[in-house]
Amino acid sequence: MLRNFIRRSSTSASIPFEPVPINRYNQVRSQFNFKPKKTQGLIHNPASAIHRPSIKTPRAFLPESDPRRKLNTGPVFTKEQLQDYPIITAYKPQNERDYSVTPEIARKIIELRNEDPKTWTVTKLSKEFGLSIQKVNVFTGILDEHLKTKEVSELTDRQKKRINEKKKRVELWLRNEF
Amino acid sequence: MLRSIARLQRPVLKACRVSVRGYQVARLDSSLKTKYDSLTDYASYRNNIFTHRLPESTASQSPPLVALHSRLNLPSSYTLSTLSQALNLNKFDDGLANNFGLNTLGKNLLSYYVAEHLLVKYPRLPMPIHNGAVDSLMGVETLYEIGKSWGIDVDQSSKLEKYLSQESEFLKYGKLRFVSEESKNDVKEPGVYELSEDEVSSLKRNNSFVAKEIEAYASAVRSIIGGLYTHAGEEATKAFIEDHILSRKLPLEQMFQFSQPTRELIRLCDKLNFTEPVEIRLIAETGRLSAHPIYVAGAFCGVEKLGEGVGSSLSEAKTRSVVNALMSYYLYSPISADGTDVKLPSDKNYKFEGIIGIGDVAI
Repeated sequence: MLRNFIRRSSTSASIPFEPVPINRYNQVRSQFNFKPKKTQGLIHNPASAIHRPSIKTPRAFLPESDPRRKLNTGPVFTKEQLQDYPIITAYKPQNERDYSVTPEIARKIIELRNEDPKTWTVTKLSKEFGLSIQKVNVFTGILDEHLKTKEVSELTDRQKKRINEKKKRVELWLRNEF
Repeated sequence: MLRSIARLQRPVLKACRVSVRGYQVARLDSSLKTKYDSLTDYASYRNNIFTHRLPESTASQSPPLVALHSRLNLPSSYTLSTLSQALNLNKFDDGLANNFGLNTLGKNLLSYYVAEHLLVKYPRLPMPIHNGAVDSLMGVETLYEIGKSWGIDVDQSSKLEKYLSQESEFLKYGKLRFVSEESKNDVKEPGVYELSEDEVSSLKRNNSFVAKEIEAYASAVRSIIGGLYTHAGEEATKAFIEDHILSRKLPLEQMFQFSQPTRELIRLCDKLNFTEPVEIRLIAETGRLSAHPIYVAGAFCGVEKLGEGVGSSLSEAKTRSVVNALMSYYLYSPISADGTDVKLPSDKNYKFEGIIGIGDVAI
């Protein structure tokens, strides 16, 4: 009451005092004034952000002797839950990797490619030898060629700028910075 | 006579070196004029260079020295003459003992406690990061900053200037003395720094330049630590190092830069003998046709989530999740059974509780 009085007297008479905008919505009595209902007792409310790597080590990386291993023994995700998350890329474990490509096969691929690159395309080679396109790419060195053909001098200034910006952004990813 | 020694050409490393030696070889400093009965009888080694220690009565009359002593809260057993010696790098100037030995002692103590701290607290740090962390805790530049913050001043005025300004001769015993009397008289141009011969040769050797002043400050800080050990023992030194060096914030998270993170993570999982495949999965997205789509990707090994990352493209989210996983592996810090920090080997009642890192991951 007193504060209002002081406030009113202190402001100039020309400007009307209006602490809350005048409208038809009543802040106090409106049905839309939802108040959060708190859960009683201790609750676990993790931060909505991604955890910082120095603060929390995932359970798979905790050594056997670590006492934090005994805290949450159950898996965080079940296999069914993981089905909802589509795979972007997957890498086989050590014992299931394919090491069947011999030096002879690799040499043959390189020979065929060098003889006639127009008939022996990468897709054709991969079908012929039953290998993935990526592997054939590595043998034929097509990735290196592709990089070499795009000389920096051929690019326009705008393209160069875009490439540089992209490079800088990728470096931020690799440093875990935003 | 001392003057004539000072004028002698010191054994400077010449620029045209044939081979580079990567290890330290102990060599006698010829300027100390060491004499011995036989080469292997180390007890008979005597330096014949004339040096004396500052008398305590003189040292106590130096205001900056007494101020530094109380500012650092050094124990009363730490004599002022030792503190003054720790600030003296000049070998020849006034026949006072210099800080060569104290520096070596302090350096060894520092490197022990810093290495112990890092190896126990972060046992999985990769070698380059570990070296970087050691450098940022006890590197020359850091010790220079610490020395500056301790309020150590450099004695730069010559004898003549001191006489003309009627400066007390005791004042210099509390200052860092590394500038020789001859170079004090050199005309200095502000903003221009002339490299000495040592500095030029160091520039050629490892392509890094450390100014003489920076090296001098670092040496003084190390020597003060060495002096504390000689006067107050190991416990006090350890506490001092913990207060002044190890308590500094170490931004380890900002020191990482991966080149091929996905490959590294797979090699790491191989090394840890994980039998499940490593999968990068899409956890959430705001919608690919939205104006600025955001993706959340997770790096999984079986049902265990190793890391998570957000990005504005799938490849960004993927890379970030993998980098997050790798960093959470490397930055692991052990805790003891009751949830406190793991004890260090130099602590009382030490019991091994942490882990020993399995070494770097080869990509």
